Amino acid sequence: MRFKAILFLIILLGLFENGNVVSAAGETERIKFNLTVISESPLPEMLSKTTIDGPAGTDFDVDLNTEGFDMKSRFVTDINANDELFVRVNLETRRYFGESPNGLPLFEEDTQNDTLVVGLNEVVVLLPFGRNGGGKTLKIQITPERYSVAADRPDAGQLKIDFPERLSSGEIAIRARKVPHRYQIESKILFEGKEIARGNGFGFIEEFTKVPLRLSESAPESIRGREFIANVAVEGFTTNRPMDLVSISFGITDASGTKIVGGKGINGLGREFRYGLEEELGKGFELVIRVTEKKQ
Amino acid sequence: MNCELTEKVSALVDGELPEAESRELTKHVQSCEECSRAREDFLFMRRQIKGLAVDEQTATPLRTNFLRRRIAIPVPVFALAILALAGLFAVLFVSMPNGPENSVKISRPDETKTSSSSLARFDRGGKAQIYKEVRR
Ligand SMILES: [Zn+2]
Repeated sequence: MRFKAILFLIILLGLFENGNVVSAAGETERIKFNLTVISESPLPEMLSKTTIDGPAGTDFDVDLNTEGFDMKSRFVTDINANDELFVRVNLETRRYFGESPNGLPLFEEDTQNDTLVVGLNEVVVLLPFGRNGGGKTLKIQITPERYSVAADRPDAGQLKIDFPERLSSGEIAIRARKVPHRYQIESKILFEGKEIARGNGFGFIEEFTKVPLRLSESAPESIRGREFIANVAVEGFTTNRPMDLVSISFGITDASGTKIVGGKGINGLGREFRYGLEEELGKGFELVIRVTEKKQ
Repeated sequence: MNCELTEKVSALVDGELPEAESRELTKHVQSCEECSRAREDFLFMRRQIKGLAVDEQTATPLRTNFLRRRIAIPVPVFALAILALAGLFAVLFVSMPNGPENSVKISRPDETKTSSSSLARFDRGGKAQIYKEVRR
């Protein structure tokens, strides 16, 4: 791990075609991300260039793996309610720091999360090693370009990624994928198989959504008057047969936010996920969570 | 278990081999345990030596970096490592003419790179940045 071999440039394609944005006019909205790797100063020199071209809501990763340094960056991109492009970035770096006299490796790690609303005249800049005072700075520039095509075009929902014009050194890997970002979350509490509380909410991938559960008249005495809030995040989506899978993190808190229960699970999209609450609420209680894709 | 290429590893680490040979040997080192160990030993030695030099251009004192960032190693190892590093720092500070006010930096892997095409040449120890800017 310490000195990872230089990797070949791997470009993987996630050929999912879910959740495409189709406008009323029969057009599919698409987006291009031009990724250029630049050595800056004294004169900018382009080291490589890649274009990701997919439906609106295409996500991508840019990983850098070089001697003594690893970077993993995930970009989840989508269009918000104001028709603006936003990019949610998760950036993790790990640098080999040195070695202790008894030969143990030391690493320094850094994690950053940010969401950028990117205007039509703006670009996203990633400096894996930061800004390098007097020397050369490595810059990865991401230039988005939104456009539309007729929805009935056979490639309207396709995800494409071209190979770089110049393979600099194979230390950068780029992957792209298209998965649903928006989900409908339905949560219930059952008592002896009968629904006694329920709530609905909408969630964005990898973000927690609070779903207050409304108790019904038939709720047993033991929990009457209590408040329950389900907290659910879709952590991942996998295309699968016969059904797509979602991994979820879930919990229930009371009104003050105190945790009653929490866990993780993988379930079919649209399928009910059940979790026993015997220990937390008593015999016969169950939590049910169902996640479906929210079509726009 | 004696690899005849091991003796070239020092030259590789020092960047003294022609590019083609360097590339070949780098590939070999990745699959040869003996050469790989030799290479790490050389790199470690270099860092030890360079670590004692004071880098006057660097504005960031190592201590600040060290405290601000998380170090990812198992806890017992961490304790040992802290002790070891504390010892190393003590040596560094004592050996400096003007005391701890001067900034000190242990050399970075960019100085031990094996190939000039490696992106590691850009690494001077800075923290990654992500932001947006107006298109030029
Ligand atoms: Zn060997």
